[in-house]
Amino acid sequence: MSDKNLKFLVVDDFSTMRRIVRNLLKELGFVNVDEAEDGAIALRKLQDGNFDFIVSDWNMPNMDGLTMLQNVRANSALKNIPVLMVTAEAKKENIVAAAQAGASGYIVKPFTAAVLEEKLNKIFQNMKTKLAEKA
Amino acid sequence: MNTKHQTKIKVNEIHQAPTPKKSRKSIQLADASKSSEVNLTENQELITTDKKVIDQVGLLTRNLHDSLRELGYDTRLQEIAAEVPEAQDKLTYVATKTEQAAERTLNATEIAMPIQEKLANNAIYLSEQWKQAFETQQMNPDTEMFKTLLIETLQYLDKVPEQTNATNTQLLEIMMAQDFQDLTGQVIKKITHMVQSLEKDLIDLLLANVSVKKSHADDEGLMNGPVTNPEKRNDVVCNQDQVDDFLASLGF
Repeated sequence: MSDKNLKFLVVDDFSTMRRIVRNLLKELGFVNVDEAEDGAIALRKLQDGNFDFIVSDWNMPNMDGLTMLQNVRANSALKNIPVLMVTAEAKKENIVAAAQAGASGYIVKPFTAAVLEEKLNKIFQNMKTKLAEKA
Repeated sequence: MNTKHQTKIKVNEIHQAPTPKKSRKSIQLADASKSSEVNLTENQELITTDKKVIDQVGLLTRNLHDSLRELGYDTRLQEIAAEVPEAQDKLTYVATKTEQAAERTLNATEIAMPIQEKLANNAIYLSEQWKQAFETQQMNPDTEMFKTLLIETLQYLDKVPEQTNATNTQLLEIMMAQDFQDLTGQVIKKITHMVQSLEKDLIDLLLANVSVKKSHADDEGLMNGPVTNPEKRNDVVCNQDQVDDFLASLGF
């Protein structure tokens, strides 16, 4: 499942952060990466897109990450796409809300390349297990 | 005042209404004229009360203006109002500087990384060639091949300083891009100072005129941004390990 051709959508309102995540994904071998600057644009791209993985910030204008996540989980075409939250929000309240909304993982900023890799692999592992269970 | 005039007209209109044919309407009219008398008195009382309130507010406002002027706060308020755009400009400066620094740094890394990658890949390739050469040469010595390999390797080695210098240049660029820190640091100090004096003045102003209880700035629910003072709080986590532990404790 760590197929290097997986299509990623990186969602963050700061272009610097999008660029950093993109470069980190490249280091991990994932080169198929698209970007969106808020949850609304992300949802539009997801509808058209065939994405396999979403990495998203929380605090964004127009539509924040939590709302986007909720929309993704409520959409029959998108609900199984893993969503990894990468955010500066560090209140326990936030973590609970994200988990309850169906986030696949939660990374708090500032983060390291190692943490990103670890969380990605954990999600891939979970996906594998889920597939095995279905079979 | 207008209300008095309007009340008078209403009373006249009712008395001038045509005599109704139906009995129900006549009862209504009788009630209407009685209640209009009551309304007239009530309205007069309301008007007097209104006037009293308006006069009091006027008096309070004048007192406030006078005390503000006497304490010199009217000028201070003007200054405060003028300082806000300045603070905004400074903050914009900080945002711009940091964005430029980030851009410069990312550009440098994106240039340097492929250089490093190529350096490594070529070394790996040549190493493979040498290993293969040694193995096949046991049976079939071929000095030509070795000569070619030697030249290739020499070329590679000669090019290494050029590559590492190029990477060094980018590393220096990254270092220099950090120069924003000094400038933004100074500006942030200024802004902090401004905000502190602003806070002091506003509190003084408030205390001079109203009793105030210091209230907590409200949390914006779930959109608070990075935590800047984790030591003072117990509702936040401080690092990834704490996030992971917390999620684990919830069963995720």
